[in-house]
Amino acid sequence: MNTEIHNTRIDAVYAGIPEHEVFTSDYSLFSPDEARLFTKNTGIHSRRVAPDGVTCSDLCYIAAEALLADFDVANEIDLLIFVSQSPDYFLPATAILLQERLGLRDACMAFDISLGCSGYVYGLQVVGQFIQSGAVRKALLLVGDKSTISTAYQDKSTYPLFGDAGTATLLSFSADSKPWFINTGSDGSGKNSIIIEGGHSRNPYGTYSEELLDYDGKMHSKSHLHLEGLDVFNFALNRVPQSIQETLQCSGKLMDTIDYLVLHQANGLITKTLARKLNVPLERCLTSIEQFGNTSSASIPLTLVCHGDELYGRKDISLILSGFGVGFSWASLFLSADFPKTKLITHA
Amino acid sequence: MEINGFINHLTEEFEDLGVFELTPSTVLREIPGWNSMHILLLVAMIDFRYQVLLSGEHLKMVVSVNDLFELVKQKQGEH
Repeated sequence: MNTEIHNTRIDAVYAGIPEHEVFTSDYSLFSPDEARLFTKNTGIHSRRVAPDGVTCSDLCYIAAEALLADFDVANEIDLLIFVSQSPDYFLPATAILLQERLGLRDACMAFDISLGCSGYVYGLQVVGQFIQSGAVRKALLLVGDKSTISTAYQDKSTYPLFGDAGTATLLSFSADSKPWFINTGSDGSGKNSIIIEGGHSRNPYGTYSEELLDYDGKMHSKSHLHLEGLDVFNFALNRVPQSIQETLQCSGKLMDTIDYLVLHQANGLITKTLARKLNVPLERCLTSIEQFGNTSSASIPLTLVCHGDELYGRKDISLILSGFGVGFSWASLFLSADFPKTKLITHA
Repeated sequence: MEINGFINHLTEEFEDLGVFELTPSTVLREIPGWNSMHILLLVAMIDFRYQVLLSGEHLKMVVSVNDLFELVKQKQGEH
């Protein structure tokens, strides 16, 4: 599906990360050679892991709290959306908890969107629809995941890959903003490629064993994340270039004129392969995976924050943001705007 | 598409595995250090060099380097 969003501006992108840094080289199930190859091919040198008791919403909260203080707009927020697959509770929605915790008005609309790696672009699209309709003047988009809560230490395909992060993006109505062009899509046939089977309505807690099982070499329980890396790789190579090309076609731009491509940070090999397919030099692909791993829905905004020091103040910079993953689900967005203010906050 | 060129491309991709001479009869899973990352490297290389995207189902049928070469050749013919 192709859509256009008008009159919407990204004012700021902040990110909250845990203090605790975990290094690939310290993962005891990797031999030194395995660790070296893993880092070479995924790009992941280290990642941040939130301790027990710290949730994704806590990381989003510290980012949003700093952002609201810097911009002094807490009383003007009309809409808060929390995009995550690691909410605080089954219910109520985490967005509503954050509305109260951040001191936002009761008139503020707040709801969750359950999406993973495509979630940031979907969130931008949903916020953009509210803003261009005139119903909302200012919105907070809080996006992130605590993926490490669902990875099994014994599973080499997931444990060393994921990191935790939460982000906050401030969006406003702006009559001067250039239009965004967005392509989105879904393919539920990929549901078994990235899945946590246990713990919800289909397989409630207590109805299955918590023992570790061998899923073709991947050791985890039904409460843990299961990842079929090759399926995801094929999905990404099949869908993402096409989605980006459609976005470009709608915008009337050519890839050569795009300043930076910001892909979901799935792993370095996927980024490199997609860049090669799209004929984009790697130096025009912004990354954050080296220091943060795969941070799921937070990876695109976190990547923007990681490059904020070098890009803040750049006028009319053209970006393609593309998220893809669990579902399968994907979304690509073209925008041309001044690079927003960014800040990285560490959760003590 | 020739087997020698194909093997050269595979060898380049797997240089990190150390000195290992690949032949058409080399069994992929028996290559020292072989793991799931190498499958991704292999799929990426074949997609880039031969414009064939292999799935897990395709690779289940592959045992040796020659099986892989024949599969890629067959898939190229289907294009």
